[in-house]
Amino acid sequence: MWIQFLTPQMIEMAGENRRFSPGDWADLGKALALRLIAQGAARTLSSEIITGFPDAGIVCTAEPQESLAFPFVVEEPSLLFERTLIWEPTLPLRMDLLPIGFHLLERWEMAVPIASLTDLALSLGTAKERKETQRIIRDLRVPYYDTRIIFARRCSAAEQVIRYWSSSTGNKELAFLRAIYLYKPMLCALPATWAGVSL
Amino acid sequence: MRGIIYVAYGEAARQEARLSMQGLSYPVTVVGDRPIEEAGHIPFPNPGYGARWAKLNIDLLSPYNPTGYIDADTRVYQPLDAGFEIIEDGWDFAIAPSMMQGEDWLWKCGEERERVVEECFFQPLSLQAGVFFFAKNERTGAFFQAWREMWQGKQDQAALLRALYRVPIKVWLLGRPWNGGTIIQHRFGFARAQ
Repeated sequence: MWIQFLTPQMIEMAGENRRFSPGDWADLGKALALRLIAQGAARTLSSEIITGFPDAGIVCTAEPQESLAFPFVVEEPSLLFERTLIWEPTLPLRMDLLPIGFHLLERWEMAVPIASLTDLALSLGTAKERKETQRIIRDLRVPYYDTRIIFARRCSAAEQVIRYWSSSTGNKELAFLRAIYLYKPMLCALPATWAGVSL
Repeated sequence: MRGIIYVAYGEAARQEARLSMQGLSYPVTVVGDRPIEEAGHIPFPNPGYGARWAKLNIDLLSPYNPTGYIDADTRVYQPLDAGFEIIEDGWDFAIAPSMMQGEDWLWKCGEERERVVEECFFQPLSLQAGVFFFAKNERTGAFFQAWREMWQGKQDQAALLRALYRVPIKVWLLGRPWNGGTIIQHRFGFARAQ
């Protein structure tokens, strides 16, 4: 996986330590590359991301205004790819996190950022929606998810979640809580910063 | 059968646990060095730093399924039925996120923070392990085993995140009221010897 260094690094390659300066490129193993990206020490660009995850793509719920490094389609939410990011383009996409999101789907079925640490589901929707949601999820004093970014692996649980959620009317966040409660995917809750929330 | 587990070693922790369990309408068992009159007792020698080794073994020690684990330095003000129902509905684990995220993330864990990022490739959502509910099943058995293996001998939160990365389970997130709010108040640190 090709990465570009953002900070000076000493990397062992073929038995030798090699020094890399900011701006240098190197083709590294995926695990090391993702770790360096997570640390902010490197980044991937355009086609180098694709070679790391050839089965990944983006389902945009509206026409994106920026160029994307992954295959994408504009359509209703669905798991079109083996690893899909369902993205609402009103939310700026952090390209540096895409490889990590797709990588998480090797172990998890879904990965979605929470919307807030303090805002809870009981503040959402109408009284009728809250009542219906509480009937299903038992308690509304829970965080809810930012459904503008949903990473999902193509699997039964995730497909049922997306089908239920995308066909629901009313408040989308409450619908998403009902969906995951009903179909119980292995869902990795991501920090709200993934959706651009400052802490 | 539903039930609550506390871990309490020393008189300060026992006193906190006594106050926390007041009014609970579920069976209660305390893992600790001495019994508390109001609850069942499971002795567990060598509980480790802050009794965390005892805590990391509660899946093996708890007679309850589902089990609710509550830190001793808490006060329970509202029914916990929903926590048990969530597990009975098929979730493996229910826990609240920590309020410490971003730069304050795992602030007590020191260098273990870097280890989490190394292994997980990113900064995961930090969880507050002072209150949680869990099912005893094959998945959570493997998860707790990983939690024990990841534990570095002091704080347990970094090991929790690493264990979750290695052994994903079905986690339902609870809100702040469940740990440090209106349902369960958390008096952080009050269980330590004064």
